[in-house]
Amino acid sequence: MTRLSLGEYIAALVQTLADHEPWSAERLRVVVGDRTARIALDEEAVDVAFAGSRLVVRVADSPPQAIDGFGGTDRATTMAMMDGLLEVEEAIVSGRLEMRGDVEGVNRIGMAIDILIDASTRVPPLRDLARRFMRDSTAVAAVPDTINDDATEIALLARLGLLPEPKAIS
Amino acid sequence: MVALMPDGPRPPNPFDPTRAAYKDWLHVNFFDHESGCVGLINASLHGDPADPRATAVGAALLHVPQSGWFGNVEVSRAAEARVGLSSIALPNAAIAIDSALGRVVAAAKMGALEIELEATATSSGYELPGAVAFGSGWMSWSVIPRLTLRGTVRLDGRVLRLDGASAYQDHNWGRWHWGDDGRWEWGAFVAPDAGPAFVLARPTNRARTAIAPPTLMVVHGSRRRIFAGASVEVRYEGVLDVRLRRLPGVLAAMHQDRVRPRLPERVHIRCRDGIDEVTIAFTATDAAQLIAGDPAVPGYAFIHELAGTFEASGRIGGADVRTRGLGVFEYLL
Repeated sequence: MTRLSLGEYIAALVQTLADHEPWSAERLRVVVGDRTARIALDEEAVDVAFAGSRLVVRVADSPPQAIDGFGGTDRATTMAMMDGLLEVEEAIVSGRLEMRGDVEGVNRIGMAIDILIDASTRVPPLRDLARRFMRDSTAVAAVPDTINDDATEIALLARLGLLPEPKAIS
Repeated sequence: MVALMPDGPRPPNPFDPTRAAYKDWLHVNFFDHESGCVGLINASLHGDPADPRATAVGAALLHVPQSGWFGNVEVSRAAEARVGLSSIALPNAAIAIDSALGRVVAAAKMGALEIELEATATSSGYELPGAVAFGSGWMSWSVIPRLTLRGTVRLDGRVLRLDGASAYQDHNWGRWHWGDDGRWEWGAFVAPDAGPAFVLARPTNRARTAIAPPTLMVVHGSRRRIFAGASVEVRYEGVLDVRLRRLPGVLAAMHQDRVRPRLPERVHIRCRDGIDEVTIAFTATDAAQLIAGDPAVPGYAFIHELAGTFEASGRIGGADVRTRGLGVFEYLL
């Protein structure tokens, strides 16, 4: 079985959802609305949006201002989260999972992922796709132990330019 | 050898209108007193067996003191399970009960963790005389509180021999949906060698406002005592501050609001019925969260396995009891 590209996985997930739980697929369309998300995994990046009820996935080529939200990570991090070895919060704080956009855009990406995961408890073919992803990803390197402490969090805030300017001491 | 009552999966008949809520769950815990390791193997069935959405879930976990949890949970289609009269075999976990010889055999392979167990009952089994109301349906339960054990755990090339360890086995079955307003609290506390084993159980609801009377079973040698209702007090103390291992990881990623649940650090149980009395103090050292998703309706349950140690003292059947050992406390949120 050939390895699916990121775009093919996303298309397969949404189509499988529509085939087995159309009401969840409709929720997904409502949550996404007319927004465009850029999703990146390792070296691949795609722009995802709905045109009416049809999912449109294309190689990331939209100008940054046309993107409402961004989510990016790598296979090793995804595998570690799927194995229950890494929490989402730990992945974000350590810089292994990046979410960007305004609050609404980031929330909508999270809600779309939640809809797919929730449906996977009732739609076995969605779990088959997850297993296929894990099989495709077995050769990736393991994620090193992640230590999340105050220093890691301060490093994240510094990376994002969110630390306050140090006060001048007169 | 202790012969047991025949036990095994109780699948619904084809005309059962509640079959979508079918649940069946074989469970083994083991306690290696020498290393302090505590482990479990589960093989469970969820949903109408004829519904292609029905799932079979295998779990194998090992808690190693100072190192944490190893193992995983695998969700398969129910059709992939081989269900026998007294066994459930899933692709990565299997449990079989040989009632005539009083044996339980279990095996699991989850990633780098491999477990093989052969347990022999040293106490007779016990089955609830009737089902209890649970969530939108009901639940029934049978239990073998203490078994001796032969077996092996392999983890990343290391081998832990379980000869001399103790085991506990139970079986839950019934009709409920994960996400129903039903919860349970359960604990198995097992002393080394031929010491006593204690089993606590009580159903409750999500808000813990409707707590049914608890039951505590004590097995010590050939003696078995059951304390029930007002003769059992259960009290929680402290908050367990640990990083949970949460499984399956995919469902854990969705439930970020469950990363830091408020779990008890200590459980105090006091039983007095005018004849015997027992006091148990269990201290949890670590916890794992198993997330159960229902295959038929949207809904989840969060099953927390707390591993730790206990001390117990009291008087059972006219004999003084004072012991300590390993335990598991299960706390649903």
